[in-house]
Amino acid sequence: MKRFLNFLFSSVVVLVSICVIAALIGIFAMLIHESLPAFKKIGWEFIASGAWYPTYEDAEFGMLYMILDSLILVGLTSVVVFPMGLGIALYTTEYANRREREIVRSVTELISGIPSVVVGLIGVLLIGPFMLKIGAWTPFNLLNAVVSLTVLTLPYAISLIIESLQSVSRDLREAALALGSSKIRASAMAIRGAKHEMLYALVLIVNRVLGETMVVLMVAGGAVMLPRSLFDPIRPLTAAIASEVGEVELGSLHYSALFLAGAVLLVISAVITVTAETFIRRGKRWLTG
Amino acid sequence: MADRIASSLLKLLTYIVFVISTAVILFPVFKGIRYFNPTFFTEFPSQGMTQGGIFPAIVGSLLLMSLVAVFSVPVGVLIGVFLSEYAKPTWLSALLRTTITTMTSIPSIVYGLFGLAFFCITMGFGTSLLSASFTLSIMTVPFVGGSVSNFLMAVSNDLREAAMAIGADKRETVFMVIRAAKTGILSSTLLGLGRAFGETAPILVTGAVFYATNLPRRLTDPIMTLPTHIYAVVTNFPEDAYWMAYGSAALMVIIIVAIYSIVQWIRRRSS
Repeated sequence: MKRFLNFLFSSVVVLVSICVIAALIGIFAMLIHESLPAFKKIGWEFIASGAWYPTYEDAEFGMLYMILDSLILVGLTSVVVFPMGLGIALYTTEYANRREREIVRSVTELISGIPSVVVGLIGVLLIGPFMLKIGAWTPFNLLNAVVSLTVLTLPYAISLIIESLQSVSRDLREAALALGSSKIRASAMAIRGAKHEMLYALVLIVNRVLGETMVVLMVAGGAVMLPRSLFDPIRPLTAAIASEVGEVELGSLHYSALFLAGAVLLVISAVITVTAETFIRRGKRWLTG
Repeated sequence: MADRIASSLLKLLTYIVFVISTAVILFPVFKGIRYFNPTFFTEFPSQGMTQGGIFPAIVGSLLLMSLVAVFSVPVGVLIGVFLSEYAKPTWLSALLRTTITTMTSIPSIVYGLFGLAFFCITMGFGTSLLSASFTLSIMTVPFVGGSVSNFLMAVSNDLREAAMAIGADKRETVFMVIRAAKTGILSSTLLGLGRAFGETAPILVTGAVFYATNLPRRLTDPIMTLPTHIYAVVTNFPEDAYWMAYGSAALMVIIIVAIYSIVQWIRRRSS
């Protein structure tokens, strides 16, 4: 009896693990299966053209502008969030006293769980009117999306970068300080020592922004176009999927095209992750000779 | 000298950003908490969201989270146990680790698409509580599993060896390890459910309606939830309905901050 229970428990554990792996395969399979009809019909046109008129008589399904909108948004947001996160993380790990460190850590943790729809509400009702005040022609635009996404991802970025800075051994830094180097030098050393971990942190931030849906759905404006200024509205892939999938006719070409857009998102995120990993691996080989 | 400048610049940056972002995050709480009264929590919305309360959204979120807890916590703990205590065959354990990393990096809207195609259409559950809870559970399992496995691995090997030495078999040993890591498992669960509670896009696609006159009676009925309610009010209704979104957002922020505070309290107490 005891041996049977033992065997039963191990089997359940292994079986459940296999089911989770199967679920991931299922997600990929479903995504490919549902996006194939659109891909067969449209061909590579979907990334060659930016014309997205899914509900027209002669429907067009070019995703180029939406892909570029997503990339522009990710680029701008990372350029804002990463240095800010790095500055705050450096202050916290290198300069702050114990109490400040405690406060930064617990507050970032508390607000890192704020739901994205709440940040979306802040973007619509607080940042939107502010956009009009500073001369934008619409409250919902690229700049609003960047600001709202910064509010959403900064706490996450701070804790990731703090973690990567702490991966550099304390001894190294203390030895540098003991030898009379300035704190700035020691910080620079910490950054250099943690550069791989920080690249990883950057990739995680980029993936988070790329996949974020509610904020961009609510504050990015939703126009399929290439922005010429920060005040132009944009429509990233996630926003297009979320806003259109509710109204689409099931099984139609448009429905399938939205799954194709989902697949494109996954491919972009995979390319970014793999590129970063290659860099990190090559960097390590170069360091170790 | 340069040190002093760098230090004060970074200090300034940290303080400014901190004050601003905390104020921004607290904005909906300050705006919304004044609408908290018994009617707000116990009545259906009425008059185009200008009167009444958010009762059906609260019930919907509670039902959804209970189902997600029932589905995802046992599965999450079991794969945590596999990764930490069995980890054999090695290829399966490596594959499961890769699976978890991949799944946590998939955008939530892609889970929504999957849930729509698989649970709503292929399985025939339609736009419903059941589809939404399955979709959210699939998102939550890898998070809980990865976190639980870390807590189990942090349990000292002495315990496992001692258990084996007094004649416990594998299953009994595993249960002892689980008991030793129970506060860690509790925090993983709370954090996982906290994340699921705030997810909006997947529910929007698989289970939510913006307005319901009845509470869901069956698992295959659609539901109203707090996050989708906020989205619906802010994007589809005129200004005199916004108070309801502020109120719901205040409630959500308070719940999330409470969850994270409990987790911090557990961690501080156990260390």
